[in-house]
Parts: sequence; C-alpha cells; structure tokens
Amino acid sequence: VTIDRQRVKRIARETLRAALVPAILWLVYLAVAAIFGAATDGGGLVSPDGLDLGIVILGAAMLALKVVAIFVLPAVVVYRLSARLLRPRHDVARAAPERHRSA
Amino acid sequence: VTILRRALPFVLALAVVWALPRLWCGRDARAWLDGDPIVQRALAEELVAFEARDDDDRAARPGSRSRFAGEWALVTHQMTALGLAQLCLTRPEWKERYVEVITRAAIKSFAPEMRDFGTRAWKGEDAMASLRGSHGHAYLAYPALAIGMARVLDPAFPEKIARRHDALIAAYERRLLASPTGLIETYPGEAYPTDVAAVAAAIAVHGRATGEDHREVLAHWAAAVRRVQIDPESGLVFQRMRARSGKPVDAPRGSGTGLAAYFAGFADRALAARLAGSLLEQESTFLGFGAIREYAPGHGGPGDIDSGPVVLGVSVSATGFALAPARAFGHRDAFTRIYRTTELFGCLTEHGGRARFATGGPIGNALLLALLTSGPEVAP
Repeated sequence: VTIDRQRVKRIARETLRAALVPAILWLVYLAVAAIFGAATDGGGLVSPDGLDLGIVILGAAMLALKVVAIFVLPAVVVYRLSARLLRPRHDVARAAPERHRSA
Repeated sequence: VTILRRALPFVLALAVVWALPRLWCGRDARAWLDGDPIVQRALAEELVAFEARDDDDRAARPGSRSRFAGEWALVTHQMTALGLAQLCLTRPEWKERYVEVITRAAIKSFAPEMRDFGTRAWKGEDAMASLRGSHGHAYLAYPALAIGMARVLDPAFPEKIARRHDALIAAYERRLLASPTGLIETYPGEAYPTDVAAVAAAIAVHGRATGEDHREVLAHWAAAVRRVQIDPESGLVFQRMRARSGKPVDAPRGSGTGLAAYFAGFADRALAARLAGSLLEQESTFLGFGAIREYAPGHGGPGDIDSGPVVLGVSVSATGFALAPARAFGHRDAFTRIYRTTELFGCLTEHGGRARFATGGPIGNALLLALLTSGPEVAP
C-alpha cells in the first residue's frame, strides 16, 4: 500500500482551513456558556427579583451562539470541507501556486 | 460529475443540519423517558441543594410584595416536592435520601407567607382562616397537593399540619360539589380550570394518603370538565372562566391545558389522557424539534404570566408542560421532540454531580424535575 503523502497533507490542510473559524466560534460559545452558567448559579435568566440586564444580554448572546454552534457551524464545516475535497485535482494544483504568489 | 461535485456539499450540509442538532439536543431524551437514575438524581440533587440554601436566602432577602413573586416561590417548593415524590414512588429506596426534603419543601409551600399574594387578592381574607366560606382560594391547592404527596411518603409527617391539610381538603370538596360548573375561584371573579385541576389532584392525593373516599367529588369535577371547561373544537381547556356561569373569558390555550393535564393525571387518568392527546395535536415541529402552540386555532394573543413568551405562536410554558403528559401517556416521539427544544433553550449544565437548566433558575428546575419524571403519580 502506498501512501500519497501530498494527498494526506492536502486533506489535513483543507480540514484545518475549513474548521478553524467554526472551531474558534465553538470555543467562544463554550466560554460564554460557562460564564452564563456561573453567573446564573442559584438563579436563572429571569427571577422574582426582576430582570438583571447583564444576565439577560449574556443569556441572549449565549442562546444565539448555541443556535449557531449547533445548527450552522457543523454544516459550514461539512460544506467547506466536502467542497474542497471534491474539487478536481487540476483546480487544486492551479490554486496552490496562485495562493503562494498572492502571499 | 460536475453537478454532483457542486451538489454534494449542499446535500451533506443539509444532512448535517437535519441530523446533528436533533442528536445533540436529544441525547438525554431517552434517559428521561426510561427513568435513568443518573439524569434523575443529578437534577434532584440540584433541588436538594436549592432547598438547603433557601432558608438562609429567605432570611437575608425578605420576600417581594408582588403576587408573582409569591406564586413563584410557592410553585418552586411545590414542584420540588412533587418531583422528588415522583422519584420516590418510582424508586422506594430513594425515600431515605429525599423524603425529609419533600416534607420540608411541601411545608414551606404551605406557609402563610407563601400565600400572602392570595390573601391580598382576597382583600385580607386568609384561605386557612376562611375554610367555612364559599370563596374558592384555589391557588392553595398547589401546596395542598405537595402536602398530600409528602403525607403519602412520609410516615412521620407532622400531625398538626396534616390536620390543617384535612380541613382544607374538606373545604375544597364542599366548594367543588356545590359548583355546577366544576369551577371554584382562584381570585375574586377569576376561575382557572388549571387551578381547579390542581384542587382535584390535591383531593385525590389526600384520598391516597388518608384512605378517605373522594370518588363522588372527583367524578363530579371530571364530568364538569368534560361538559363545561373543554373547548369542543380544539379539546383544550379554556384558560379562564366565570365560576358561576362557566362562561369562558379567555381562549382555549396550551399552557393551561398542559398543566391541567399533569394535575388531572393525579385524579382521573382517562381525562388526563384526553387532554394530553388534544395538547399534543397543537405541536409544531421543525428539524426534529417540537413546541406547543399557545392558542387554539382561530384564537390568538400575546404572551402573559401563564404562557411566558409566545414566539411564532408557540409558548415556553405550553411546551414545557407538555413534557409531563407526553411521558406519562407514552407519547415517546413527541416527548423526544419537545425535550430537544427544552434542552436547546434550557441549556442543561452539569457540575459536581448536579445538573440544572441554566436559563430556568430554581423554578424552571423544579418544574422540569416534576414534568420530566411524570408517570408514577398518575391515578390507576
């Protein structure tokens, strides 16, 4: 069995490139969720004492990020990765020097 | 081949949107459905910790004078007692750990300061000081139900409070039998079928605890619900009615029907199953997530204290309350879809062997423990 090292490297590079921004957004979501969890320990988004604007804003941000993290980001990763991997080899070969030149 | 190369990423991305969120948010749904002790214990322990903290918090922060702050506290303790009691009915070996907490939470919900909001609404008339009167005071059925469940489980339940509970149930029985509509008032001029379902539940559980025969009043109530309180078109109960005439003054709604179905289960299995069926017909689904429409078809309105926010026609309360009848009456698919929505917006977090729904706070956790473990309390 021969391993096409170029191909393996390319797949790894493409995977990293496709997943980097979504992964960062996932980490942001996890951080905001952890902060919200700590801020609401013993309480919730709303309480009988009234609304805490900071908690409400944090909660809204956390919920928005959660929806994005669960519904959008995985689909974006899969779309970008599959689009890159399915691209014809000659397109890839053509794209690589162009990237180097522009860099 | 070119078309395939361009279409396949779209198809794969859509497949991920279709499959992943439902898998992620529904990962604990089967555990709750099947009564997994790990998920149940984690949420139960959160509420045990809450009850332990509560007395200190209450002393440091005197209660608000708002009606809803009082109701909020009352419902939190009541639902904590009910949820833990349901767990003990399923697993008698857990009684040793929880029965003392159940009794403490139930007694707290029955304390005079918890019903200040009702006393103020009745212009100073305290429910327990007016048991011979005809005013309904149906809000006190919530703690009465919790007290009843505590008495079912706790052989050492304090005798003095048990006698007061007996007197309250006797008053409810008399008032309900005297009502041709099967409705008694919660506040002056305000009768809520959901609160009266709590009255019926409290009476039924009192019968289980004491052996008293309440079949006549429960049959009277169930017949009146079927005849007067259910909208014939949607099968939902009217949210608010006039007690004497039985005239609806609000629409048939999901939030009231959901909680009424849970309470009705304590008293009349067939009626509760019927309400559950009608409620789940109001389910809207999207990508495997379910939510319950607040208003019956042909009706509409904004959200309020009963429903919580109404977004795109579905309400937070109706959706959450639907978990109980969905689980109790074996609507597994609907339960799973609604649980996914609950997890998505409830934000379950786990820490130190305890679990809580971060957005709900203590009242959300107490409600969800009772709703997610509903089943063993349902009348045979």
